[in-house]
Amino acid sequence: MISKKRGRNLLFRNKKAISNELFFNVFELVLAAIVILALYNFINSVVDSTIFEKNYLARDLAMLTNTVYSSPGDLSYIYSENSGKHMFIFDFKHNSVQVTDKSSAGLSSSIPGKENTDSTLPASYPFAENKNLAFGPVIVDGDEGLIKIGFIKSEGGVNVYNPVDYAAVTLDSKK
Amino acid sequence: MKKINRKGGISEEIILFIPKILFLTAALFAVVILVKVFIIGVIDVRQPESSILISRLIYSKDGLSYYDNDLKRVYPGVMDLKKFSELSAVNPNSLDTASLSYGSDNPIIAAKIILKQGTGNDITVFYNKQRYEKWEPRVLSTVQGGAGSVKLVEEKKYVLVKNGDKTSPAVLEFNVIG
Repeated sequence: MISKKRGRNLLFRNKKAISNELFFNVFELVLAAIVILALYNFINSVVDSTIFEKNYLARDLAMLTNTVYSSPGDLSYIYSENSGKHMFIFDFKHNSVQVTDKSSAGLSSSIPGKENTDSTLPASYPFAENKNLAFGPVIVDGDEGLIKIGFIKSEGGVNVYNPVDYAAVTLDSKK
Repeated sequence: MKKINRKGGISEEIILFIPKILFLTAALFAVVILVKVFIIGVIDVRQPESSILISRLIYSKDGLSYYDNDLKRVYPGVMDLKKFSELSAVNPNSLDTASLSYGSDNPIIAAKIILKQGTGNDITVFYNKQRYEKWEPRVLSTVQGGAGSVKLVEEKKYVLVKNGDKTSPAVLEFNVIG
């Protein structure tokens, strides 16, 4: 009976103790909220990142360029791939293809052949050029959805073009 | 619940808080590492790349096959013995620098091509010879320091060898390391 009364007295007397306890509980909750928010942001950034897409497209296009070079005669081919909601820029340089996410365009370039694990950096992959055939470096601007890139191989060399621009130019010239 | 009813109560509470923070940090890192583990960042294209190189050497005008200058036509599968011998002895780097050039450095692919004619006089041609010799020991799992970092793709093609007007059967052996 006495101890109960004493305990009650302690509880009501030490208001500072209660506020400290409350402070730590609130701090714990804030910390948990921060961690949850950080994790949520991290998962979101992983979902939105285009590391895999860029690496895949760079390799696919570099190997396709190699295949175009291997054809014994003239060739015309239109590459099409679904990019989903992402938009990419395809930079066909001498000996390499660089794929950049439009949202992170303008950043420094990556090293061809090295695995790109930074989501903001472009992905690059090399291809073998034939010095006896001319190759014109070109930048193809991809739209959201379906990617289309044209390849032409002839006696004059290997040319890469955007079929959408090509169709527009052809229509204009017909008018 | 422990009540703080003496001096230094806050510092005691802070000390008790440390394991909680450590556990939270560990849990946070565990989630991040687990997510990162499941992100596919490495795409292995060595096998298709080797196949493309072999196709390019066989089908391309500037590859190993015979090219008729008058007809402007490549004969895939018909090896030009003169061209092969030149590549082997006279101009061993012409494939690297002209028809299949990755630029000044090629850290991607290398190959050894052996033309086996059955008469015993095999002709060997290298593509990116310097890298091939460097990588060749690494394809063996027993080699220490870099074993398995490169992949060997072997392929054999039955071809015809054109020596002037004569043709004879032969085997073209590709050892591609990427």
